[in-house]
Amino acid sequence: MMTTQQDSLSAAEAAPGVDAATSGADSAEVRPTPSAGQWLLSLQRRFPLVQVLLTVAVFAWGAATMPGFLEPTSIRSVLVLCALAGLASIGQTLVVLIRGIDLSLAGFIVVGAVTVTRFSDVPGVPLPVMLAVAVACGATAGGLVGYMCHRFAIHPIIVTLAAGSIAVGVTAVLSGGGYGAGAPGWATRLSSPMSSTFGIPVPPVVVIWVLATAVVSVLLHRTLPGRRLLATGAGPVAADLAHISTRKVWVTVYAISAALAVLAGVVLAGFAGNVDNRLGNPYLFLSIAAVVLGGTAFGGPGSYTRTTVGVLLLTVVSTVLVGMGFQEADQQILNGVVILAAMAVYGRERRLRDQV
Amino acid sequence: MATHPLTAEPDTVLAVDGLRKHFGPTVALRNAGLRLLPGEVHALVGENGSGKSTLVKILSGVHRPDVGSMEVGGRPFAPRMPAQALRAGIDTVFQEVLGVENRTVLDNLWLGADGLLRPVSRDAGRRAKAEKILTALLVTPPPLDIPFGALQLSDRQTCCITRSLLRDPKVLILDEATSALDYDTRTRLFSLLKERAAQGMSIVLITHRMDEIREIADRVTVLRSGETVATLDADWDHDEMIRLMTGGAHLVQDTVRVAADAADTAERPVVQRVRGSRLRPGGAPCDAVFRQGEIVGLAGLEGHGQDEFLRLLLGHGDTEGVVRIDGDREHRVTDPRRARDLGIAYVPRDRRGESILPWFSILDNFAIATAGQDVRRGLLSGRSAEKRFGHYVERLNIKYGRTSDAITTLSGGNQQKVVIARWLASQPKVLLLNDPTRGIDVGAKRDLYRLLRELSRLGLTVVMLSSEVDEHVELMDRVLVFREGSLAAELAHEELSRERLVDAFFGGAAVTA
Amino acid sequence: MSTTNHPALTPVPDPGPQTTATTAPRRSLRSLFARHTYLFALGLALALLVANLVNQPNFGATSQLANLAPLGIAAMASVPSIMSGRGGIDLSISPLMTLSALLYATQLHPIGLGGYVALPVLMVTGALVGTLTGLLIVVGRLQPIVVTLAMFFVLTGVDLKLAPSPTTVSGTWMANFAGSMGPVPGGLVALAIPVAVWLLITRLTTYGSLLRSVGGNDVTAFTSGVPVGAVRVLAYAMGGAMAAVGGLVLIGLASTAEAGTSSAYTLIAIAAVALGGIPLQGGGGGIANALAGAAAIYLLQSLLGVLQVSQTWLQVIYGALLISAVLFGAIAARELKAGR
Repeated sequence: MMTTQQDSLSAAEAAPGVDAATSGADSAEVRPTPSAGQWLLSLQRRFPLVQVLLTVAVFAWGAATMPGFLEPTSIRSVLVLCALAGLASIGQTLVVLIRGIDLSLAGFIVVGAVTVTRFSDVPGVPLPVMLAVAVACGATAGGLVGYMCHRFAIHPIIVTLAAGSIAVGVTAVLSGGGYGAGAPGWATRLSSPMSSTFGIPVPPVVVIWVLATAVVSVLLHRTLPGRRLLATGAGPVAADLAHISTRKVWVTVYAISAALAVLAGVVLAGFAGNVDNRLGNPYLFLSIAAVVLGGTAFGGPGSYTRTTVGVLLLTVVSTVLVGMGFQEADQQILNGVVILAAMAVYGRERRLRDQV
Repeated sequence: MATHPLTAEPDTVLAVDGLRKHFGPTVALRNAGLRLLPGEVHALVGENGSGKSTLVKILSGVHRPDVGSMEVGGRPFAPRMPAQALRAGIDTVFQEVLGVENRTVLDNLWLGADGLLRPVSRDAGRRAKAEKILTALLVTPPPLDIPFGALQLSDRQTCCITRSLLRDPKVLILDEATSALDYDTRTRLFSLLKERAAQGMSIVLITHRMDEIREIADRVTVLRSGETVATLDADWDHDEMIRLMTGGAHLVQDTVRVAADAADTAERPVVQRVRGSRLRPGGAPCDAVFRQGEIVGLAGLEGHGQDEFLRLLLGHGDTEGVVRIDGDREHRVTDPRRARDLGIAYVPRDRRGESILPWFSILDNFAIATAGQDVRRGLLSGRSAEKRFGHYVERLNIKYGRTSDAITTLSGGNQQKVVIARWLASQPKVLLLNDPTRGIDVGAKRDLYRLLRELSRLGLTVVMLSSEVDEHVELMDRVLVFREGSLAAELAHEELSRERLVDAFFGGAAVTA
Repeated sequence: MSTTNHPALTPVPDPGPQTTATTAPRRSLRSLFARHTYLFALGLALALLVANLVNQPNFGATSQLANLAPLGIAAMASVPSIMSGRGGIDLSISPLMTLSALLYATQLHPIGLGGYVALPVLMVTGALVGTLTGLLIVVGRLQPIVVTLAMFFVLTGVDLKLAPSPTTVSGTWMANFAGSMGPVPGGLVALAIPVAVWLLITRLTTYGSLLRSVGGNDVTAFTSGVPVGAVRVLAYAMGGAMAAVGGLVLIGLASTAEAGTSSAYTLIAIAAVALGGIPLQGGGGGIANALAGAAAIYLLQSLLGVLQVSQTWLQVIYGALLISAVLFGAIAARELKAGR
């Protein structure tokens, strides 16, 4: 990504020392023996320890204070909520790793949802074909977004905001303003807390999420395309000079993000039952909060497993809050505060004095 | 010289003692000191990485020291930001040209002179004052109302200096601020500085050019490895100064310094050729050939075309006449990707911005350009990368903890070695380097020189842009000198000397003080 | 060797054509647009105005100005933060406008502070919220876009808490914003308040110059002794104060205040400033850009309404407009750079 991109969304891992070590002074190195505190810090840098502990603590508190919190049904419901948020956050994780952000997620979720609720019974077109068309359209639009951001060095926040708006608008125009009767039965069963998967008493969506976590993690960290993606985020110019086509990475990542959002929309339609054009909004907020809270920085380092931890923490916290009688408004405020807190820990920018 | 001959004098303008500053694992300053007298021009010298810039940044309030004392006019001085240093009368012109491109020249000249919410001053005097200094410095001063961004480099730097002069500080620090100036402006600046010094302004001058120090400095303070090692009077001796700066060692050790035999080189096959390419629109066409196993230097004053030439070899710009020659086959180098396929590798200049992937491990940083070789059954194999990296660790003398450590835990020199290993792993025939020794310590430099020599002996062609004259003199088989956007001269190894080279920078005209 | 024999020891070959290119304006349309970034939007707005007048015989200036006002104010309020650089797009302007309306409806009006005194009170409140945003960005060293996104969530939540359901406010002086105040259209008055704030602060004090310098190159400003942090915080505070005025206009127009408008102006205000041609990397432009952009978008909206284009298309058109605006801006910026 071009310079503006770098300036605005630069990963802020650069401690002043790091900078000085590379830019100017090069004297003798001191290698102090790590203290226990430093060891914990370096562990936290590799693994979201604090987040996991927090999740466990909040969960334990919920179990202790709320009757029925540990009921299998309620645990399953929490898992389903996690899975939905988790599936919606895959694309966001990838996009943040290349120093972007994707606000079009909400729009593409609506596209997917409306596809199953409104267009599931179009005569002559079987639903799988319909879905494939929707995913392909999403991917194309996403790819265009990535291309424009990279080619013209435009901040992705604007382009994705616009793309999301267009996606919702086009869907509304195509569906004639209606959102259809509701999701077909199979879609509902995917995310019903009561359903099971091949005999395992876990809803299918949870199983899908677990599989997706494994697949995404392997793709991201153990394959060549994944390495290219991470390099594009870590150092866009360096990646370019290492003959990685960063534009191709941007196009691909945004295309994948949009396609996954469409698929997430299908699942969400089944979960929500009735669909409107604001279906995706909470998941957009959730996805950003989960990525940032998990400790993935803009441009990395980060991983989807971190996002998974972020999703668990957020979902457990909000379940407990709802149980305590807090409302949507409080949730919103919490989202904002959580993003700020996580950014303060992970995503701080370089000091002006270190840029001289 | 272990103890430094600093004695407290009653009328020092600026007294600095025992400054220490570290950045993460790197110690930039150990024990730096400086005594500045009123009305003197005081040169501050040292090799790259000796801590000059850090000292300047502390004096100007950009950084704060870990320990140490600073006094201005007898009162304690501990600026927390540049604004406070400026208020205390310490004004710095940084090496990097700092201007706001979309504002006018006049706005830039008076930037920072006003408070935050003060009434706008419609002071016509400002214009006159600015014009007075600009006219003194430039033959053709730029109009004050054009955007700063429309100025050429030399004029920009002149404006930065003018900005500081306008504030009439007690102490003016010029951190290699003269390197971007053209010859004429520099001469004018020096006479203006002498004039100001005579009126009582103290000037700290940081420069790599001995002739400048000889011409203008009253005293010289030498820094080495973050320590002040000596302050010399105006009658300093050149060799003594070099000894103080380097601690006695030459840049390139004699054992390494075995330049290829000139007669022998001319026989070797040409591997890359440039014919009739222009570095800039309207510039003169350039012709050059590069032979197998040569080390060729690209030299010139900053911004005179050597960067464009290097980019040309890499496949950027007017590549019409750029070919890679492999035996009797010629391939045009059309773009960087093609260049890679033809065995041309490039080590960029800005290590932090263009080379390293900051949070990647040492191993991943090494492997990134050739990761395709590590794919086993669709997955990247760490073991394969380790094995490949192992080939280079010893040859490059890379010092590291574990290969899984982040690259930023290494010193600049070792980072640079990893980057070079990254490109050597692609088995290049031609290695292009853009000022690879900038900001790395002397030891790492020597390792690098030794490596380049060895590689060239094995048949690799090395083309290296360097901003250090000594590097050209001591390392290169041949140096191409650029001036005003085109290839101006070519110096063979036996004609290489500091004087000849600097002479060529200025178009063959003798540069005498 | 004398200087006359040695004209140029300079890096760039010939300074001549460069200086002339910038001093004597080249008469090309492109460079004119590049220098006055709002011209494109202004031209578009004028064309749309004509189209509106043709299609809409009873195009009442007063009501149109009143309807334009919230968008115009939201766009203007976005300007200072964008100008301060580092990608400072303030996403929290829209919920802040709603917050101001809700504070009036649920707090000030009931305790009898519903008069003109509410205006300064709310503007100060808005400025304080903006200051908080700015401090988080400057002191916390966080990316502006993330902070303003977080503030967007927080303020939206606060809005919901203040008024879970719409609150009706009628019979206040604010209704005049929708009509006229004496001979002057109320919408014009509403727009004039932020304009006045902006002009007072940026034209009469050194702040305007500092804001442009900080946005243009903060490192330079920092080393030259400019209080960069304070300049940035003040930019967000100004945006907050301007947004507060917008909230009152919302009440004037609808006679209700509701949390549902929290995100109504987020997308469209950014579209307006982007269409207005403000360089999003900071340092350039002004509120003229925001006003021109807002006018163009509003008139387009109005024209589509008259032509009976379906509401569902509006969202598509906003999105397309936003993308083409930023594309145009990016290409123009590149032209400007290349043409230098």
